[in-house]
Amino acid sequence: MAREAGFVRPPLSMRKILGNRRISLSIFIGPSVGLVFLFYFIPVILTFLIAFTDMDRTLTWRFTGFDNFFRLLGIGVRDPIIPRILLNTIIYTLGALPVTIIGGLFIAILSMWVHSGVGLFFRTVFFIPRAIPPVVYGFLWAWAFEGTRYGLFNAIRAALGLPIVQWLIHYPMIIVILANGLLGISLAMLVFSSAIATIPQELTRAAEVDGASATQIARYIILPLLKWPILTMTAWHLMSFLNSYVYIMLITGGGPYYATEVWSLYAYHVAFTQYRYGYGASLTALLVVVNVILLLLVLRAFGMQRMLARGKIEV
Amino acid sequence: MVIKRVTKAIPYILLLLIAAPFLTMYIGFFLRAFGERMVLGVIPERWGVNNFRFLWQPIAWGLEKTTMWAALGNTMLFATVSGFIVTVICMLAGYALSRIEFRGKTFFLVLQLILHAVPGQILLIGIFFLLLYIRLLHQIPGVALARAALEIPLGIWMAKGFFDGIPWDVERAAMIDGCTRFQVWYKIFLPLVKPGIAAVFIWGFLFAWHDFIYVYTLLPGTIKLMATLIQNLLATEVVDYGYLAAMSLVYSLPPLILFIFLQRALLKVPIFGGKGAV
Amino acid sequence: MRLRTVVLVALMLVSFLGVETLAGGDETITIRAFVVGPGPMGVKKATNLELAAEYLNRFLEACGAGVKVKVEVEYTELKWEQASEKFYLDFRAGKAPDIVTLRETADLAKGGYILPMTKHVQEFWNFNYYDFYPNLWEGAQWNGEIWGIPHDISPVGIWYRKDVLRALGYTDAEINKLLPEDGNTTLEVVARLAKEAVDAGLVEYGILHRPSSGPGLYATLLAFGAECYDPEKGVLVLNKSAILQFLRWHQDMVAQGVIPPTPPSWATIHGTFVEGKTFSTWASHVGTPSEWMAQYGLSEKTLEEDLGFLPFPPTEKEKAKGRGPVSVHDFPLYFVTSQSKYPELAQLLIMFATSPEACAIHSAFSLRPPYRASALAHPLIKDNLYIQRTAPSAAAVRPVPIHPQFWDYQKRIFEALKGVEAGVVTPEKALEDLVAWFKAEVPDGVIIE
Repeated sequence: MAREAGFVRPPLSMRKILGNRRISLSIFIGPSVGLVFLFYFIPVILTFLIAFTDMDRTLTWRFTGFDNFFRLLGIGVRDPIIPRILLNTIIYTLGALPVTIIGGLFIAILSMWVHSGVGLFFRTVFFIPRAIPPVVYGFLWAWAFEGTRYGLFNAIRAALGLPIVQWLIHYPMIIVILANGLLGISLAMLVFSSAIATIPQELTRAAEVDGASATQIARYIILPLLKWPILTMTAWHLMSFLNSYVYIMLITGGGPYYATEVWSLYAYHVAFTQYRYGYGASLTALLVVVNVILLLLVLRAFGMQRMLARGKIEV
Repeated sequence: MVIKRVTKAIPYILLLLIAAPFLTMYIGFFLRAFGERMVLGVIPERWGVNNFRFLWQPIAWGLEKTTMWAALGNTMLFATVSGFIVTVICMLAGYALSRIEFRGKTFFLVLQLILHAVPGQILLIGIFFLLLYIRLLHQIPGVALARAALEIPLGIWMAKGFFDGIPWDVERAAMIDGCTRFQVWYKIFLPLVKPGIAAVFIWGFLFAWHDFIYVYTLLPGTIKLMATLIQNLLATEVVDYGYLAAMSLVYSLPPLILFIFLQRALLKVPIFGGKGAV
Repeated sequence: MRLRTVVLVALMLVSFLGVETLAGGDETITIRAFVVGPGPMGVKKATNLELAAEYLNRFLEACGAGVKVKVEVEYTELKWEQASEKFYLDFRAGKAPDIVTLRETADLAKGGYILPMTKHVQEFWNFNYYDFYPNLWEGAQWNGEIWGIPHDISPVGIWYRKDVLRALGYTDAEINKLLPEDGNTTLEVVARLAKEAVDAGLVEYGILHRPSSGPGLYATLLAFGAECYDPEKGVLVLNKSAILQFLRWHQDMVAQGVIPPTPPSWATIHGTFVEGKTFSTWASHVGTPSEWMAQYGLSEKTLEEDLGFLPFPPTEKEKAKGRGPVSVHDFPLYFVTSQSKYPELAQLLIMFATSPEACAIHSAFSLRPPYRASALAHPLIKDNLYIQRTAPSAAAVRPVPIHPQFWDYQKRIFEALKGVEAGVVTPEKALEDLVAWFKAEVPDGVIIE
């Protein structure tokens, strides 16, 4: 039985039974549309409007047209750090995304493979980053890689008689990628393992009986059925990494000397150390545009349209 | 024989190798919670539970005192309600997106993701203005709804995926038996997507659990939350890391316990090697 | 004269609280205040307002006024930025308190959030404000008006361990001559002693500075003669040669093993200093010992005998030019907000909350120096050797410049410093980048060679 992870069109025979669509729609999708529209969409529109003002801490609306955007693009040419920041953003995002997706898949599949108690243990271990308060998670990484012998890994090295390493001077980008990637894994693994759990056991048992190895089962049965969750996680985390700056701020502060300063962190520094909300909103707006473009590219690459499109289903 | 044993052991070894450095970090940090007056170093020289004194002693709160339990209770309530709202709404929407055909579905789905592109700090200003204009500012319902609305977009994507996995036959049988759509959703689908419910609930719960800046700036006065207690500890540069570790440990336990509980209750037995693996 | 003023105050209270309240029973007027720590050490700033209300109520009772004043103080231990954001949002929603303690005088004044206190200060100058250290008013003024009352000073400076110097063979007399409490020495002396300590293996770190930008950074820059602000023109200044000196010196210190290549975390800085593993920390202020004692187990004995403090001394070059020792602090003020319904009452409360007694209470608790001279004779602190010893630091402290881009500028300098110390960029290149940024982002700034 072939199933596609995507919209499954009801066969003609069922249409009559399914009842009035409008009422169904309003019950099912009404609340989410209402809530998201009111409390999320409208604030986002307001944020875009703020980008055309010079709003500061006084929270007054003073429209200044495209001034912020001109400044942004003008500054981009003159500030010598900008090319570095763009490069950093690309490296960081392209580094963290695979860590999250591949790592998440790996952990999810492996943990479902082993003894269920052991699997649960490891899933819990990888869930810990999300259970710890975010600030503490940042502090934890900063402390673990502190360049003195009082940081965790250097303390271990010192105990073993090895010299201490200035982790944050020599490997700041890798550390920051790992920290954020690990955090992404906690969500990805959760979603993937839940999705795997909904796969009927008959499918995998049948394959096993037929002599398939675990790797083959993983590759040919599980992965294709995870297309939608993988798409979701990739799209989501792509944008998360483009926009995230909190952990980078806590671990390296963007340093040393802008080695890990990414676009979102720079925007935060520029706008929020001076409390120029209008300018900050314009930087955000630009970032959103970039986000949307990349998002659409990713969705296209995954064939989302096809996933949603009417497909031939064998009933 | 040996090869088979070794191959069986590989996933365990792999998992252990990947998890080891991180486990070291967590253990190293939380060990400090059990050290007396420990400032530097990893292994406590003197062990003690003094850092956990907030469990039985009142904590300074402004000019008065409170207990950690009050803060924990508030946080639990806030997170559970938020998680519940998010789960219900997303499960409803996920069903519709999976089973009902309507115009603008793709646009709706893509829009959800685009919303995620706006980072939290600046969005706070937008939400502030919204709540101000609709007069829900400084009211718990307004802030709770706003908080839930922020987690719904991803929840919808997650939920849709889970609903897609259910074959039509199931539904057809139920419909023929005379169920309405809602009944089908409630009686048939929900039990089948339990792992999905778990995932979405954890998602909604977790972000409300850790939320600080939204609740603090959008509600009046001082609402006692665990997140505020943690922030208070970090406000000055002279941080008592043992105390911080102890409080973080306690703060992290409920989500962990929830995660384990939900995973055990709602995730099925592993799909590989059904023989003897329970 | 005092009695006359007290009666005057009481009559003022009665008159503007309304004649009709004299009739019926006790009416209560509630004044709300929002006081920021941050952290637990600042709690007396809040309780002093409650104390002020108690005194006011006694006057009112003595007049038979039938009115009571109640102060509802919300004290928060959160950081300045978080509390500040909350205040701005609350104000915009119409729910601002009557009294607030914040630091951003110019922003608040410009935006109409607070009321000027010039008239009040003039009226009660001889009663209460005459002995506040004059330099403090500089940080309370903007655009020709006084906007708030100083009440919490933590001058930054250099802490060092005397026991390490003694172990090197210096006598106490020599120590006092090399590193006098008034800062009349040079930065090079501090560095030399730090190097001796490191070379002798007595300490792990010679000098540790802040891991983030802050007043200590500004003070160090001033010690090198790098003025960052021109108060007359109100613009930022970039002194290229001074900043280059500043960067090169730090690079040299790292090369000599006196300063580590990355600034350690706060816990390590405080912890190693308290345990004697660091010779000198440039990351703290006069009041920090109270926190060291509370959190990190510093004993009073050690504080008295083994720790020394001095404001940042100038470099030899700058001393030759006549520059003196430097200390700065970004201190908060008691402000009266423009949404207050009883501004004069709020001002009076603030006045009583900055009395010599209130000042002494706050000093005794937090070990921060008093901001007014008469408090030094108050019974609460007149026998506190530490406070008496460190009191002059408040008289010499400089407020930080009031310019919206000032801290952004400091942050850029700090990033350059971190990069130079880490060895990923040369001082010359860092300066070049800094100048390029300055020219782009601070168009009205002045660059000196």
